[in-house]
Amino acid sequence: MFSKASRVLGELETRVMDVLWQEHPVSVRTVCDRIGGTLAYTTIMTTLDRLHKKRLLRRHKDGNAFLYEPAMDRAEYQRRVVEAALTPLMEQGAAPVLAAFVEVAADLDEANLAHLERLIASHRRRK
Amino acid sequence: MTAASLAGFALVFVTVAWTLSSLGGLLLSSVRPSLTRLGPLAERRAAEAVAIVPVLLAAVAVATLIAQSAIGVDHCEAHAHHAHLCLAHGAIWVERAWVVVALACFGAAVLTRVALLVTNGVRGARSIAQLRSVSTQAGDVRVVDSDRAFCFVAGVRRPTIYVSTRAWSALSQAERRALVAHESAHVHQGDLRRRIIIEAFLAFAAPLVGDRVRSAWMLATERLCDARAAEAIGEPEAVASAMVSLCRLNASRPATTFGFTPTAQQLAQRVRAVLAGGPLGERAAIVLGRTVSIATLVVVGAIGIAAEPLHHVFETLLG
Repeated sequence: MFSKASRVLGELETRVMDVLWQEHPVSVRTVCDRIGGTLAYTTIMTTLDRLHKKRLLRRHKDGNAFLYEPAMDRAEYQRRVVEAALTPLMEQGAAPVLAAFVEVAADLDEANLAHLERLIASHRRRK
Repeated sequence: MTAASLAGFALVFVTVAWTLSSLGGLLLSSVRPSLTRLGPLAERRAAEAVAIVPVLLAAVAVATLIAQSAIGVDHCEAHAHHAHLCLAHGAIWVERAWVVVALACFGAAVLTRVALLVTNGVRGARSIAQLRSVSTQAGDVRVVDSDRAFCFVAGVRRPTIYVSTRAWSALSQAERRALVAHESAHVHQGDLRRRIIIEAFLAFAAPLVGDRVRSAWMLATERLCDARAAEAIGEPEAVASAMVSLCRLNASRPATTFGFTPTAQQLAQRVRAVLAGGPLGERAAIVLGRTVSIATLVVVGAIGIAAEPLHHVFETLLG
């Protein structure tokens, strides 16, 4: 399940995911250290918990603390976001926010394409 | 005055808008071959006129009738034999079942179209935002890592060109330039914004007219951008070749469309048109635009002058 919430990450969520895609499994403290700055421990902990609920992270107990790791690598995450974004655009139409260069013609076949390619080639030769 | 007293005026709006848009649709279909010969700008302008003018004239007619009633020009006593188009006695229209049914059908049609437009727009914008977050800027385009072959411009406020890695890597250098030039033409012409305006007006068009006008406008716009791209890069063959290459990449995946599926004949028409390098139709578009504007103003003036007889015509026809 790749939910809508999983597809759009906030700025901090993106930074946290970047840390985890580079290094895992990690504790909340490690993520805090890698991100640096003035962010509170609890802020990072809440963010990690939210990413876990979005099923983008897995976690397991290590003593009293949780260790987190990505549920999928960065490439897989991006592939899923692209597919999830493209599917509604292609299936339901995105009018009026999109204009495609060319779309697959309804009755297009190899003969049509070959004919058009010959036409272009002959035009090039005539030049 | 109650909302019910506006029912008669609403009926006039439907009658005028649907009648004129039907006539406009028929006219557009019959002169389309000539418009195509004149150039894509002329064809596009004609489609825009058919989308916009009927709704404008219907609105002017209704506003005139309402104004006439509001300032008390009309005399209700003389019209006891039919329903009266006035703000004081207009509620009588809703006592007629056919009026209620007609207005309900029209309202449902308009609401459905507007809801679809808004839903698709919002959903599309959300999807585009997601694509943006995982794409990378490469020159003038944002490249999306995908094994689908696509290229489109998206975003109303900030139009951006998106191209998939599959399409980008499969195209030659010249084809890439053609692709970017084509999409840049959409951006410079403000096509996505124009499309929203046209769609908003088409929400009030008669059934079946909207599809015809939309299809004519979209094809003319694509041909216009093809021509502008050919002009910009000086290589019409690259524009034609990019179209065919993208179609070939997608030929095995017929689901890869964006809500509008052209026919092979329309694709061939675009390829032939860009290779032939015909006129853009700038002059014809200007003449057409001026003619339509003048004709519209004349009709608006005529509605103002003949408001009284027009009022009785509508009462007699509909009441």
